[in-house]
Amino acid sequence: MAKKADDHDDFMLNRDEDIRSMFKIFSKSHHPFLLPSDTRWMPAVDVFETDEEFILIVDIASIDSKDVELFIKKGYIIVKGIRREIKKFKKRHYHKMEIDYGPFERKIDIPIAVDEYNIKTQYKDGFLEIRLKKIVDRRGSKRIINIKWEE
Amino acid sequence: MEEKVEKPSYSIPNEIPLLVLDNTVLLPNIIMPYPVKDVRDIQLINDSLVDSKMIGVFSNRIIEKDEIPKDEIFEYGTAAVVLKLFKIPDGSIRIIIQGLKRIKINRVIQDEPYRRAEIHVIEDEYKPSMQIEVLQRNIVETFRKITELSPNIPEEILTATININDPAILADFICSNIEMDLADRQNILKEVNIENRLKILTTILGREVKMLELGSKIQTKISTEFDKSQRKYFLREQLKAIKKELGEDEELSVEITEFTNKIKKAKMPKEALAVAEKELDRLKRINPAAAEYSVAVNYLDWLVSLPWKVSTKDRVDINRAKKILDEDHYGLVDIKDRILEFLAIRKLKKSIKGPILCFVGPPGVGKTSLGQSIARALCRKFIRISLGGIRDEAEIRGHRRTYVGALPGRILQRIKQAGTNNPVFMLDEVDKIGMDFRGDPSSALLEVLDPEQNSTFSDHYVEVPFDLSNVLFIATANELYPIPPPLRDRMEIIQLPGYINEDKVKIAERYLIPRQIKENGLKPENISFVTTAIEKIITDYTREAGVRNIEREIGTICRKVARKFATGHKKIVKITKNSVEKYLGSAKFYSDMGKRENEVGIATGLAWTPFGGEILYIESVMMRGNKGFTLTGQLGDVMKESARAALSYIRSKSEELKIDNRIFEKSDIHVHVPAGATPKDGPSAGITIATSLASLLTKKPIKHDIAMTGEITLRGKVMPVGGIREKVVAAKRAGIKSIIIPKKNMSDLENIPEKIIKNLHFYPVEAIDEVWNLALIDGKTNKVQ
Repeated sequence: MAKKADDHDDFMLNRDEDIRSMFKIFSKSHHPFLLPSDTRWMPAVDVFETDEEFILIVDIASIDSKDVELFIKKGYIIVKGIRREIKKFKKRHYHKMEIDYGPFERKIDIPIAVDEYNIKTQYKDGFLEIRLKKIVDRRGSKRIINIKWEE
Repeated sequence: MEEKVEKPSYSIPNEIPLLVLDNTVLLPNIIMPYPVKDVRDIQLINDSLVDSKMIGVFSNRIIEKDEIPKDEIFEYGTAAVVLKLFKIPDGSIRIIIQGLKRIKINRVIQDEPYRRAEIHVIEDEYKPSMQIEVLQRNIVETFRKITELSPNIPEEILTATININDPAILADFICSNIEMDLADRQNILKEVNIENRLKILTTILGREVKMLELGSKIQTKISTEFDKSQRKYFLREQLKAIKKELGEDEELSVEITEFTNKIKKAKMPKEALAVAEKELDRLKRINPAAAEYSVAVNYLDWLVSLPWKVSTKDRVDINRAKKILDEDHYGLVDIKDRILEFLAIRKLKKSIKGPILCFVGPPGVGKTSLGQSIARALCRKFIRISLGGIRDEAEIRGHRRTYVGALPGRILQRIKQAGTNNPVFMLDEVDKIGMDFRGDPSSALLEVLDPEQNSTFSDHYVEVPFDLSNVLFIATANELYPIPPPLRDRMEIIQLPGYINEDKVKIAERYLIPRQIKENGLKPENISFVTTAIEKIITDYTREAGVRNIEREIGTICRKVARKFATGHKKIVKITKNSVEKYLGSAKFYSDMGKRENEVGIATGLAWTPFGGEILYIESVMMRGNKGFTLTGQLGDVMKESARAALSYIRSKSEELKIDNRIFEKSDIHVHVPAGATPKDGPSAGITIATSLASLLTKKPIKHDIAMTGEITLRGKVMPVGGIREKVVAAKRAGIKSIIIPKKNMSDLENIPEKIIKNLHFYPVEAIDEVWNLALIDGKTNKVQ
């Protein structure tokens, strides 16, 4: 799992914000935009924290359980998978095609200390909920260190 | 780590539909919007969405947007997937596509309704090396420069670029984000070797940086220039403000105070004053550097320099005026009388509307110089314009001020030049005004010449009415009929007939000879002309109504005499009748009256030309032939018809005239009017032709010293004709004693000076028979026949 995440680290855009800001430009000015060729789309996320937890909600409706993967590494979490197309209507003629299909991947930064081994996940009504336990004492608040004075 | 997610459906198929892009290239990993307009392309996209969503994207070789010959596409392209699709109200669609891999066409397998081709995927050749890393850094650095220079690339793109590690993707991404030629983009697409691809991109980027640097240099140069002029403007405004503070209210007002004074001095009428003051107000507000400023200055300059109130005082001393007129011109009694009458009225009544005189007469009779004498007699300024060949209405009334370089018309220009508002204004050659698409100057003259209207003459440029009613307008013309009737109607026509020989002798003695002597540097005691010599010059060397050629011939003599004096001659040179030939060569014209005899078939007629009257001989002969009737001598239709009428009348009266009728069957008749080169027309030679024919057919000779003019009808009546005055003068000049004229023309003789009529016999006639009784000699046969 960790190794997989490392691969993506090497690939290109290191930070989640890079991609997001580029999306913004793209929608405004239609400047050519970059996405790795094995990724088609990036699901939308809500990221927030409570007193105890760091919570991510990923909008990935209509996804089979075998088609989604979750990786975590220090500093970020990666959701990747495939949304398969609905092949129901044989002869169709498109007016709009806005829903994203195909392979997706989303790397989300975790700016605070969390317990990587204490993750709760739940997939319900198209939302994937990821809850991480915050490590408040160890990283979130400062520790006072006593200095020994020699006389 | 096991591969949990399978992606079999996203591998690139071997057969793929081809979408041809206009003037752009899609590279792998790039997401790009693209508008699809062609119906077949829309179908292609829709079909691909239902299928695998995969398409092959290729570029068109031809850059022009319209009329794409679709076969000309590059063989390298990109496999792409359609991510999104929107329909646009005009029926076209907009798609967002993502490039996947480089591909090459093996062969096209389908053309309609859209192209499909068999393709294969090309993989990049990539071996990591130092070389590549250096190139990569270099490219990022150059791209940074480009983003700094070019306003079109958002900073986020640069940030993204810095974070790309893969050199292949870096090259493709930068290539997609800067301006470059289709061919350059295609080269990057085609290049599979990463190192080479980076090299190509480096060159392109280097060029782009240079172009942008140059562009920004030009930009800054322009903006500094602009700043400079802006700075000047601000400084000038500041200076103005400072001066105002100091109370030195402005240097630009030198011109303005000057105008203020000039406006006061010009004593303009109320209307003009209002306009001038308004213009001055405007001038104060205009920046002196503005183009408008000089236009306003020019206009004001015109306004203040027109002689609104300046006029010369008329000297109404009638005796003095008569003396001056007599001094300058010999004869012309009628005209002098008219001018003296005008003066007399002027003396009795202070204000008088200026009459408009029009002198009509042949060239060289002194129309223009008469105008000058009138001005002298009245103590007024004399100005003249020649209207000959003027076609543009603006010449009279000026151009509107909106035109660049606009000026007032010639009327006001000359008035300004004269400096007074009551000059004698001569409009020369008023009969030669032209007319074309630029308007009709003669119509513009109507306003100028109407005494009721010209007190408010309005020039297009000046726009304020100017009073022309004090101007004494004198027009001149050679002929009356080309003058448009409305214009003619406004003028008082005074005819100047040609001079007769006696007059010419007097004119030569009094004016021409003294002037030529002076002009050729001689003294009056060097040369003298005997009267008979002058007569010879007039009769043998000139034939004209005026005196120009006489003066020229006298000038020739004086020149030759002057040469004699210059080469040492001392004694006075006397020009006698005999010595004229020595100076002027043999005679140019023959006064052949004396040599002529009474002949059969030769009748003397009188003709009118714009240059005065002429003597005309009509000759006719008869020869064996067959009823032919020939007319030669450049005759017009009217003249030919009147000749036929004359012949028909004679034939109808053949018994009374004792003409053998058989003669018409057996002979041809030929009538000729010399000189053959001059075109002639008009009915006034009717009785002359009839007389010539009657003489020919009855074999009675015609008296050679009797001239005639008159129109003939088919029934032998004689109708009145025009130009009697000139014709009489011509007859007198030619030494003819008797003239046959239509009875109805007798009243015209009243207008001819007594001196000319003296010694002439006039025979008024009503019918052609009377003419024949007068002109044909009974009994004698002609020796020629």
